[in-house]
Amino acid sequence: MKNDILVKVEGLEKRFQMRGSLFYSLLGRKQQYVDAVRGINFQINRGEVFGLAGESGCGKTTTGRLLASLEEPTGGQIFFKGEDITDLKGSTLKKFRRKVQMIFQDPYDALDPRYTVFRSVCEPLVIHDIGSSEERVKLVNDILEHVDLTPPKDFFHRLPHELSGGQRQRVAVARAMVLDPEFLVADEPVSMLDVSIRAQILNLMLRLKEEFNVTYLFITHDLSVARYMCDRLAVMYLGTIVETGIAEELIQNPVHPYTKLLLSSVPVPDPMVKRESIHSSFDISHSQNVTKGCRFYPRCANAKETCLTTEPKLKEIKENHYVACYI
Amino acid sequence: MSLLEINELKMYYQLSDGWVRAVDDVSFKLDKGRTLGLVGESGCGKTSVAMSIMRLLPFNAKITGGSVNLEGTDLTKLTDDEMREVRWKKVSMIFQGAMNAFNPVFKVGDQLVEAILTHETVTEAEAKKRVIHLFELVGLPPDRMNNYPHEFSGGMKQRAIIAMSLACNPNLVIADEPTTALDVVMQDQILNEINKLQQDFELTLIVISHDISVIAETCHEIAIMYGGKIFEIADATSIFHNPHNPYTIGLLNSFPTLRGPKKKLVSIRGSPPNLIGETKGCLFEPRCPYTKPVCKEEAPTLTAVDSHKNHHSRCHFALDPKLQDIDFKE
Amino acid sequence: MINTILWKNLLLNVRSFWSQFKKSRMALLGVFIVSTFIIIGVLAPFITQYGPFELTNDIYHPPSIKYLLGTDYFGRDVFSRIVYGTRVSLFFGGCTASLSLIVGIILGAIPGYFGGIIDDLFSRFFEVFLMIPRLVIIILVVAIFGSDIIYSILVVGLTIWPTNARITRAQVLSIKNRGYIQSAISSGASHFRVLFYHILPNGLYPVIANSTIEIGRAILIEASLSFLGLGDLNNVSWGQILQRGQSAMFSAPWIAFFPGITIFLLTFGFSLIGDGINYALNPRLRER
Repeated sequence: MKNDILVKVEGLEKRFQMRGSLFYSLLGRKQQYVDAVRGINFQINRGEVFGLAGESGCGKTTTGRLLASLEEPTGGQIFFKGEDITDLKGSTLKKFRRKVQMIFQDPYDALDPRYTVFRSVCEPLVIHDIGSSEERVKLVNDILEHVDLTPPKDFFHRLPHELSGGQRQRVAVARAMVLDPEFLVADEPVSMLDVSIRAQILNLMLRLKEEFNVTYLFITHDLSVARYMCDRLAVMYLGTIVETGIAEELIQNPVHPYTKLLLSSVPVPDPMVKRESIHSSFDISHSQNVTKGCRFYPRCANAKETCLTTEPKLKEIKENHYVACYI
Repeated sequence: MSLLEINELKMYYQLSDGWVRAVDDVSFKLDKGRTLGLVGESGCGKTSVAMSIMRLLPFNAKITGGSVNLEGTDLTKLTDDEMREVRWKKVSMIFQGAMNAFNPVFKVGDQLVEAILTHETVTEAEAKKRVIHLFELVGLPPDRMNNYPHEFSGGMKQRAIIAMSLACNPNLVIADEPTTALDVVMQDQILNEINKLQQDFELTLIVISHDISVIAETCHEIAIMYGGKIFEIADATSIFHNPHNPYTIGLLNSFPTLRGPKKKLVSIRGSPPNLIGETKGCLFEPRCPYTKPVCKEEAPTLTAVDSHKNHHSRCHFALDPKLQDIDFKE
Repeated sequence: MINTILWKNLLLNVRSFWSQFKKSRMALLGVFIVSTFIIIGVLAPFITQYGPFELTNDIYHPPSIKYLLGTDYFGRDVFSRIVYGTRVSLFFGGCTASLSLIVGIILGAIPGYFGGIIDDLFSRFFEVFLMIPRLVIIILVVAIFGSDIIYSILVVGLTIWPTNARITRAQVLSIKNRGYIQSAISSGASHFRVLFYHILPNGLYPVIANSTIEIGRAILIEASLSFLGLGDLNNVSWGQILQRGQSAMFSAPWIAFFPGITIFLLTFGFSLIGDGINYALNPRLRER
């Protein structure tokens, strides 16, 4: 089975400087920084839904933004269809943007409040100068049909504040898909939606994947959603990938202590099932101070000497199942 | 006698377009030491019920009917001064997004002490002792009392908020989305904390959430709310394993699961109802796949499904066995 | 077809703004007041019997049917002077506020959008500008160049812009990280498009509100300048009338009284409009 690799990430790093003022740097004061992403490697195959899961602060959103070129990496490389896109600028960047889009978490922030639905969805076409006036109307009409905002003409002239959260997110999806992109980064697309609407959007995304043959990077903190949506999954912790593999396999047979902790903490929607969670009384607030060795060391029940000195790398323990741990 | 008895509570608030029926005929009983879960999506009225019990309503809101009986006293009939005596001492609340409830310029311990001193006549030393005890109760190291809120993590702040709600030994605690902003590991810890406290102190709790798994792990009884009304109410096991309402069934099937077989998620088409103005017929009808002509004409009332188990459902076809095969097609 | 869609978008935005704006009765009052003054100013020659510098024989005549608001030391009709003074006030206020608006938006949007060192430099620049003593500069300019109204407009307009710049910068900074801006960037929008098509249209409401209030303030400044004798003597302005009226406060109080009222009213009217704009365009004041 030949896997067509669409996106490949090698040693990706992103360090954020906590910007002091001009005078601080003039005085030679050392700037503080946060390493959001610390050297991660993974690849995404064409046509799959690749999940990036973890708690807040683990670097998943930053990784998504790096892949969509909304942030510049401070280390490592990103390859898209074999081409190095790490340092894109100017017109090559613009061409890249036609093929890679991103949708965001907050549907109430996703649309320009002054733009009608038509204008918001049409804007990418205008930016890339696609189609004539009539063709654009047709393209917008078609994509709104695809996202179940029907009849589309009714929605053309609506302003965002007249739409519900679910509808706004659909418009955001439509806008992302109108350029027929090859890769879509979805950052927690349903976490701010009502529960009964979430399923609508998730199922919509799965359907669009088939219809448009688009590949997803699906970022979420909700492992149940990750299980539903993703083919393959990577679990992130404080900037590194601790475990990655086929989603179902990872979820049913987790190996890394953090993955196990995460999965066991998810509550069960069944009062008759007793859940045993791995209790960890450690509070994550001071973990930034660990500089070498495994970042999970302070919370790990299976910690050993080696864990403190050298950071474990991802190694394959089963077919298509990688873990960064000395277990 | 139940600790809390709510009868036909109605709370409306006024917008420029008209009156919004935020709580529309809600009734339930809660016994001492039990936990009731209020489940529903945004706008269903669950937070409004809590605010009505606490009488913390905005200026344009009014309780237009019904009663809220806490240990025999009707809270809706109390004066503002009398209500102030009830709040925090008899019933306290953990608000949504409570992590932001702390004043950033005062130490956390001082804020809890202040809360106690506001409601009870004790000395500052006694209040401080109580705060230390409360910190230990919720699993916070007492020496962190002198920290400022920004030095606490999200989970720690939430624990402090829980401590604050217990400060005056209330009989009833209402927790509104107590774990929504927390990461899953933190959420697990807080849920354990809540369960432990409830067991150790025989607290009576109302837990409000849109997440049924949180409700499943903490509540004895569950009320499913929709459009300001209770659509189904029963003990937890019955709601999950023997639901008798299309909305409940739809809701249960729209949550992806981590364990067990992978099933296709149900999506309930349409969106939550408009609460302004009178609606003829069932509020859920536009989205219900089981809809029949009567559903458009007549609004259903709560019918008993199993009176032994106190299981009621608001649906014309609650007792119809074919309801269990309901199919929420796309 | 696209053009009609764009026009329709604009129309919807205007209608949306107006429906919010007209909910505020005070804002409508402000519009009424300001429109009244504008009309008075425009129709000046038609509603006055005398010119603003026309001398009559009735000196210090109290308000009467002949001289609606009385006459001053030179026998000039106060009413006519006030009516013609409206033009000056509106012109001055409008020009200075517009100048301040344009300069402020540009100098505020750039540091807000690009951040980094540019932001640091611009912020220091604002602070320097805020320290400039406006009155002293005007006195200097008038002394050197003469008292043409254009100079006052330039000086005032080029010294009150820091407020607008500050507001613009803060707005740009906060809107930059919104979802729809990130989406626009991700779609391939150029800096220009992001800034002028998305950020500024959504962020300018407080600046516009501030500008309308600034018109009022500018009118006050103009009145003070004229009061101090630094104004343009070729045009009649309310401040001038006030100044003359000051010496006749007890013998002919109507000379100072009426311009005092008009200055207050017009400034007040603009403030109300500014508040109304803020209310109508501030998305946070809307229901989600």
